Amino acid sequence: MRLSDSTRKRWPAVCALSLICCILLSSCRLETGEQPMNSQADLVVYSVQENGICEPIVKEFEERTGFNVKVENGSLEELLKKLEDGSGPYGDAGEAWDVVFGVGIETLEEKKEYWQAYESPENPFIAGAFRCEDRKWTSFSACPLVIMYNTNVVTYREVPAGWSSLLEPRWKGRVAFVDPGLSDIYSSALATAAYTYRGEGDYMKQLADNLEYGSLSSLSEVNSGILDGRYSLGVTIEGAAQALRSGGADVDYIYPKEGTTVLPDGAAIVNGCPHPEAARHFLDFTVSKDAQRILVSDLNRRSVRMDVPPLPGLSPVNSLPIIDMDLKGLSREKKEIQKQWNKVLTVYKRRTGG
Amino acid sequence: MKWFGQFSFKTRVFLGCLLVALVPLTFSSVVVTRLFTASINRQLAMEGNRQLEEVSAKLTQLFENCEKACEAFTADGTAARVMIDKDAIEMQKDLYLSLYQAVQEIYSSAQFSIYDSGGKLRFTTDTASKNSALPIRWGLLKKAQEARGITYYRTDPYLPGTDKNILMQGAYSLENSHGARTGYVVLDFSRENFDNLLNGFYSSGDTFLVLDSHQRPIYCSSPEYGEKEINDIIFHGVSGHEGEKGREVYTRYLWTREPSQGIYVILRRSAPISAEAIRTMGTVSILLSALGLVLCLMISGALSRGIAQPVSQLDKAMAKVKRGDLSIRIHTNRQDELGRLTESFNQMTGDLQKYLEDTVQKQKDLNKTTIKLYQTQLNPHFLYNTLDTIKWNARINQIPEIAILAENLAEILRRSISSRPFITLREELETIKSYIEIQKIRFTGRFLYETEIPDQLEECMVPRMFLQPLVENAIIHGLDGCENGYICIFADQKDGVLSISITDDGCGMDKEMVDWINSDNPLKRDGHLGLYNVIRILKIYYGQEYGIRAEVTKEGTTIALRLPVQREVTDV
Repeated sequence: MRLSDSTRKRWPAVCALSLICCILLSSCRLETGEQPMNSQADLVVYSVQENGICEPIVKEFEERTGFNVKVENGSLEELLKKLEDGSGPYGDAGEAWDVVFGVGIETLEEKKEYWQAYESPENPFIAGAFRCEDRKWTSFSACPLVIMYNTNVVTYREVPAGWSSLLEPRWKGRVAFVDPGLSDIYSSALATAAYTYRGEGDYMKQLADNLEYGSLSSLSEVNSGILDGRYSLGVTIEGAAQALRSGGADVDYIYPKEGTTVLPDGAAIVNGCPHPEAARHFLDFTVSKDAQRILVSDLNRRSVRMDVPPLPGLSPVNSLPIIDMDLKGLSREKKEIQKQWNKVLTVYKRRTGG
Repeated sequence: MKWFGQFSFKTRVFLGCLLVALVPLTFSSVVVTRLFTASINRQLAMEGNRQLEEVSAKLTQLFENCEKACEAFTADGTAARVMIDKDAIEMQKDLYLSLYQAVQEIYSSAQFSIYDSGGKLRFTTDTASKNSALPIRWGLLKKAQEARGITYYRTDPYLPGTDKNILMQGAYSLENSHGARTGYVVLDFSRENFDNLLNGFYSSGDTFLVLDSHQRPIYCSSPEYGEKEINDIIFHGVSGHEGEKGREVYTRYLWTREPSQGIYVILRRSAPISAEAIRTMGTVSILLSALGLVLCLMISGALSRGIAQPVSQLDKAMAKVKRGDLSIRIHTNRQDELGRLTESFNQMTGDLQKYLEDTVQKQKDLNKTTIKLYQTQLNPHFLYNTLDTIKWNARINQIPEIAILAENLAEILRRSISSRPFITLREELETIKSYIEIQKIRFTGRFLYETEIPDQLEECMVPRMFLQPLVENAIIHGLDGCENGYICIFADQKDGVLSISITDDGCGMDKEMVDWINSDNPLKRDGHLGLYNVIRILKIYYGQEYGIRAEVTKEGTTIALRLPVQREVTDV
């Protein structure tokens, strides 16, 4: 026990040594980095809009107001899921959304309970069809549905005329179409086509057959598919088709003769948002004359304002063949269409055993 | 530390060696690695911040130069006038001239163009073809209308009309002397301009990112980076997160803000030492530690065995000694302390054994003496009675010599067979007196006997019958052939030592005899048994330092006894 006595006496030395070691080691730690940059957003926008539309609008808004805008891009599906979750409109970063932007008007109409009412001073200039009765949302742009075709593979004799052209046997497997379950645009297109179809048989079944039961997953796939010739023709929105055509691509488009739908999109302020003032400014800006003009001149969309005419060469909305179906009807019809489409696919799958 | 004490000595030595050798090695390698990486990181950050400062200063300088150029260009008002007066070709030439002069300093940094108030391009220093118009209700010119001085604007990559090569534009409102706007001076900053500006500020591993005041990317020094990588850098810069933790050396994200226009510059510095190198360093230090461990195991094992083996041998041998086996010896070849310790152990057990044997021998001798003594005590009463009878018969028959002889003999006999080993000096002297009486009759008064004993010494305890052989010696040998001899017993005390001398003035003693008496341990000698016994008794009772000394002078012989002064006898 003599030895352990002497070791006990050495304890303070051992302690001091280990203390020094600890200090040395801890001094090797990196000092924590610089202060983070200020990232406080003055406005949070949840956008289901294409980047090409959303970014310039947001940028100009930032330049004019000096606000910092945070844009979260996402799909309509996600938006609806998060809204219905009831957990509140919270984004990935835990920030509350102030504004949803680029959402189809029928969806906005449907989810009215989530929005704050706001009437923009620009409202009187907005065409009546794009005005919200109870001021829950503000429309932004309109894009009629068109049928686009590749001029290299579609001769002038074969140029499609309307929705029924999609059923022609020569286009079997060469029609670009997105699954209506995935896209608002295509469920509207399918609803419109089915609504106006006067031919024999079930339009949907025949279309599915002509698509060879294959569909794409996004609008941009349709556009690029037609552009590079994988598909001969397909349904797209006017803006995209116009952009491609004015860009010199070998494509052209028609408005279906049976009648088409103008899909308006818009923005709404989320209930209980943290920056309502900025959100109102943003809504005002989206329908301002400057924004609507640039929308028409550079972004290939149609304006919802009566005082902003379309580009020369485009027929005004009034003269387009528009079907006589209101938003509610279309919204109802779309749900029905999606159900039927799923049924068609199920039947096909059962038949082929796939 | 208690647990440490529970281990055996060998284990403790082993563990101690191991700790002492391993801990500093491991510790120092860890510290060195950490210090190294930390210092590199610190240096990285410092250098990065310096670069950022420089870039920021350069940007500020650029903006100042642009401002100056614009002011110089518009100072005389010609430019504003030319915008309205379209026909003056001469003036247009002058305008170009002054334009080129004004932009000389910043020629490599930006291209100058002049747009009229409707947004149409009128003059340009750019050799490449470019958009002939800019929207006046949107973007750059709209912003310029509301600002004084130069407005800077990140070009919008999503707007179809934008030249993808131009990353940033500046606009300066051109006004005539009445304050009416007649056009705009537009500065285009292309990717090449930025490359020129930042060239030399970063090494291949670094990335510069220039953000506008809304933290949107304007320029990235790595042209191959897509939106994802750029957003990643911005995310790290904004959140202040260090990149790639757990790899010792971090990719650092540093940023600064240009003061005049609020432009952010982010610098991403990747580590100058790759993670691979750090890992190699780690592996090397682990390998070194492992090597150290192996060496340590070997050396500390050998060392602890070398120390512990002799110790445990000694331990076992000691246990045997405790059980009484003194014959144990440990063989060792070692020359060091442990070797000496082992030898000392061997010597110690040897000495102990010898001592034990001596003691046993002494005991045996004592026993023998005692037995002899007992034998002499046989039938004492018969002898007394006989002597008494002789005494009374002599009295009756008027032969006084015989009566004296018998009486004194009886006295001596009683003393000599007494069971007490110690008697007082007085009693002893009485015995001597009796003996002298007898001898006087034998030698018919040829000698004189005297004692000179201090009273206080008479009660000293002395061994029984220890003076008698000496007195006998003195009478028989010393006074042999002398007429009128003289014997004196003299006692003295000094420092607790009782000295008793017996002096005779006889013929002395031969040299050999003196030497025998004076030697430390005289051997048994024929004819001198009495003397030998006295010597032995003194040595045995009182120890080696007491005894007898003989001295022969011309006057005679003195036998001196030394023994301790004892008033009472302790047990022997």
